[in-house]
Amino acid sequence: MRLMKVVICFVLVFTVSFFSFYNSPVARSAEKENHCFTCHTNARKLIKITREIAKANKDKPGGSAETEGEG
Amino acid sequence: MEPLAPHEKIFVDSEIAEDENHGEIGCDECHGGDPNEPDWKKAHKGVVKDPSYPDASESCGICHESIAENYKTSLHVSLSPIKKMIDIRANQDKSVHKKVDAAREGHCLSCHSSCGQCHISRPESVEGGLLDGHLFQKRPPMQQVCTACHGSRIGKEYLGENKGFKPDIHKEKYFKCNKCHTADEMHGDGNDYANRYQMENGPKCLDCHEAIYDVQAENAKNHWVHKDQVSCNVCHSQPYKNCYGCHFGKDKQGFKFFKTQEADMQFKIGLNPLMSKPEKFVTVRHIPVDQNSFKLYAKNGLSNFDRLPTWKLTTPHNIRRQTPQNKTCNGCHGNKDLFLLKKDVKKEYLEANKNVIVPIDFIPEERRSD
Repeated sequence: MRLMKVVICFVLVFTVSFFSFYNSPVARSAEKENHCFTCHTNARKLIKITREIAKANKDKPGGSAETEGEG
Repeated sequence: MEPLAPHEKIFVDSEIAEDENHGEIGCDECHGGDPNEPDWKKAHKGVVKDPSYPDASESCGICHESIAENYKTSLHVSLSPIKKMIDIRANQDKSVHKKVDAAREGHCLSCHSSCGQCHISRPESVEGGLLDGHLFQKRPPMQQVCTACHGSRIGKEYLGENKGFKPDIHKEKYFKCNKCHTADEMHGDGNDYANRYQMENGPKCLDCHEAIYDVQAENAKNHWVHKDQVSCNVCHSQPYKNCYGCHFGKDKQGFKFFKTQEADMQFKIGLNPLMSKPEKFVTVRHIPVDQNSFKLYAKNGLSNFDRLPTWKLTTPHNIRRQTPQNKTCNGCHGNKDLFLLKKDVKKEYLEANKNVIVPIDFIPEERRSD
């Protein structure tokens, strides 16, 4: 009986410790910032970056000027 | 279609994180790149814009297995009929055929779609851009996806944007493309078809209008008389766009271009070139390709051009209940102008169209009692 109580206590302590302190890979990655998400959900940031890109490509044509007619 | 601003094309709605099916998938799991890198230039190394093309098995297909299984046979992905038709017409000399193939891949095949380019973004062939902040669209929005590509002919017909012509009656009943063109049709069924009319799960008028042949149906006699003789479009389509002389190449800076001659609006009834449909008379549309379409890539690239007609079976999406040709019997019977005759075809393409041109004695005679 006493032995059983000790075993039950041990299992309980182990279980609580496991879920409290185990740092799973999912949990670890959730702690880090996902820059894809934070940037692509920020319209202001995207406007700034796309303007930079447009400035850098200012003199580069986007497509051919020879296209004529409907596609 | 209103163009998107550069930032709008890549803006993601934060609500995507609440998506019960896709919200927990990390961006990099599909697109690659490094989500931990704050410098956007470095973070985009290895990024794949559309991870669902050409093979969706490692992205969408991980969960949508049954769809991904047949994905490569979806006509919107493979564009297989285009390849087949060009192969039939192409010069069989290996070195010339190789050039034609390269031109086809660079020009014709760039119009492909994919899972992403229907359900997540506008198609790349119309400059892309996310639909609704990357929120997944179960049913692709018609005017940002379907008619974005199928625009100049089908889109304009259906929406009534050709001057002087009404929209399709189905559009007036609020039908979108996916009412008739189901997901099963779009996703492919594992079969490699020569054209869309062969598809077993393609739309058919009788899918909804089955009762048209009932004894009590309105106009039952006229429908029975023409059954399997005349396609529905012959009586119920308005004139539609016909294109001519598409040539393509690359300019001095290496950008792809195409040039087409002016299109016109015509209505022509021809003989059915397909064995898969029972009707003898069908509506036919002029194709934009001509013998010299590939001349900027290969001399005599389509030396077998005459193996296929330049007027092809078409199902114009501008259906009306009443049209000039069905108003009275003699709207069509005896009306030579409606039929594709020898005089309507350029001399150099008479051979190619010999199975589609309607001989004068085939034209139904004018009816005395109309």
